[in-house]
Formats: sequence, C-alpha cells, structure tokens
Amino acid sequence: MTQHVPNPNPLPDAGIDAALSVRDDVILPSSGFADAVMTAVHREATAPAPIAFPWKRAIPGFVAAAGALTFLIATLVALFRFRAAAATVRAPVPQVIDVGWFTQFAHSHFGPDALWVAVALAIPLLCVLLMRKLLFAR
Amino acid sequence: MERAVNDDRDVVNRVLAGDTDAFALLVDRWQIPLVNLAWRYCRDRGRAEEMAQEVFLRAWRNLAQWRGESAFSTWLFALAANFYRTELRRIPAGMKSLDEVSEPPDERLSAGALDNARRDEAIRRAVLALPEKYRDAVLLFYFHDEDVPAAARTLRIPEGTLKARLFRGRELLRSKFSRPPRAGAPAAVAAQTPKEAR
Repeated sequence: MTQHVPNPNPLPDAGIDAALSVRDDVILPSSGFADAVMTAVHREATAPAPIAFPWKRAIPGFVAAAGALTFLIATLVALFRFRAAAATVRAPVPQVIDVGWFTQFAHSHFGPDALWVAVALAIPLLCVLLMRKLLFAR
Repeated sequence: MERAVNDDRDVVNRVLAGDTDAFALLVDRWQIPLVNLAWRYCRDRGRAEEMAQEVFLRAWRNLAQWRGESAFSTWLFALAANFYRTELRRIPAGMKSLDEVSEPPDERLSAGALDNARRDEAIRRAVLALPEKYRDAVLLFYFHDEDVPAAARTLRIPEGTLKARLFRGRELLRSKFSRPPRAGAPAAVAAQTPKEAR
C-alpha cells in the first residue's frame, strides 16, 4: 500500500529556471579539444576522395537487367494467359516463344519444359558473360 | 553581433576556398557552446566532447550547405541539436545517475528537502528523462538563455510550438518534483511517471 502525502514544497518555476540556466551549468572543453578537432579535420581533408560509383560502366548492366526483367515478366504473363486459355478450351497450347527448329527439337527430345529450362540457364550465363566483359574490359 | 556574423562568413569563405587551417577559428569560437550543448544532452564530459567533435567534422564536411541566410551559429546549433538528438536515440544518456543524485526513499525530493546543488543536478538529469520533444525544447530554451526565437530557430519549429512544448515540459518537471516518492521506491522511478501524480 502506498501513501501519497501532499508535498508542502512544490518546485517553483524559479527553481527550474535556476537549475537549468546557462550560467550555473557550464563546462570548459579540455585543453586538447580544439587540436583534436583540427587533427580530425586535417585527416579528413587529406584523405583521398571517395571512389565515385562507375555509372558509365554500370549503365549497360542496368539496361541488360531491365531488359531481362521485362522479358521475364512478359513471358510469365503470356504463359499464364495460355494456361488459362488451355484450361477453358481443350486446344493445343501454342508456343510462347517460337524459335523454330530449336523448339521442335527440344519438344521431341526433352519434353515441353525444355525451352524454359534453356532460357533459365541462358539468362545467368549471359549475365556472367556481361559482367566479365564489364569488369575486365579496359 | 553583426561583426561576429561577418567574421563567421569570412572564415567560412576562406575554408571553402581551401584554407583548412581557417576552420580552427570556427572551432575556437564555437567549441564552448557546442560542448556545453552536448553536455546538457548527456551529462557526460567525455561523451560531450566526442559528440561536439563529430559536429565540427560534420560542419566542416557540409560547410557549403550554409548559404548565409541565417547566422552561422543558428546553422551550427541546428546541426548540433539534430546530431545530439540522434546520438541520444542510439545510446541514451545514463539514466541511473538520477538515482544516484536522488534522496533516499524516505525523504522528499523537493526544493525544501534537498540542498540547492543536489536539487539542481536532479532537475538537470530529470530533463533528460522527459519525452524527446519536451526535452529538446527545455534544453534549448535554457541553452539559449531563455531566448524563445533562438531556441525555435535551432529546433526549426515555430515559436508557438516551442512555447507549448516548453510549457508542457516544465509542467512535467514540476509534477516530477512535486510528487513525494513512494515508500521503498527510488525517486527516479517515481519521477518517470508524472501522469500518475494527477
């Protein structure tokens, strides 16, 4: 059980003012403070400038990545549309991407998903090749 | 005053022109206010100097951002207050100190029960326990020698907002120190729940 006794001496505003006024609460920086600051400033002034981001080299990569992403999204959208159409109408599913002999070859030898597997493998391969070209090209 | 502003502008122009050593003039001129503002935020001398040093470094890096529309001191104090606030969010000031300076539980933490020095220190530490917006208002109001416009400029808030926060902050402080601590409870704990006192 707690007892709250009215305080006969509430803190007056003057008490807060006195406690927090600048005059009564001042410290002086240590003697080496200014030197330490200037040492840090000089260190930073003489430090080599940070390496800028290589936008020139990165732009082709960004463009390629954006292209690959667009292609992937378009392919997925087309695939879902054809799947939906195939579910309602019993009709042969047309090829999303017709690459002629390769599609037929892949269909006959590896099944209908071979094309997608090939595309999935080709994209990272292209990325690696592009990165190597960008990194080591002088 | 006008001369000091022009001096600051000249020094800043020299630094921006590549004279790094000229920055020492700004450090000499503003080190005491910046360290003291930091001190008020953390009540720790070592940390205050570290924080003030970081503010000077940031000021040096961003000196070109001061366009001279306001006084250099206004820009510098705003930068400092912003940094100190962020630092205190990251590592709060040691609140245990409030316990250390408080009276034993059976005595009342009030103007009549404590000697002035201990009471003042308890009040200063209690300010740090206020909610951030009230704490900043109170700290900067007194740091600027009770100058409302200067404190408002440093906090980049309207004067009316500062006055409202100041009023509320002082009210919280009064309620903290007007409430006798519960038997067996540390004064600091009692001080952190001012609303219960009403």
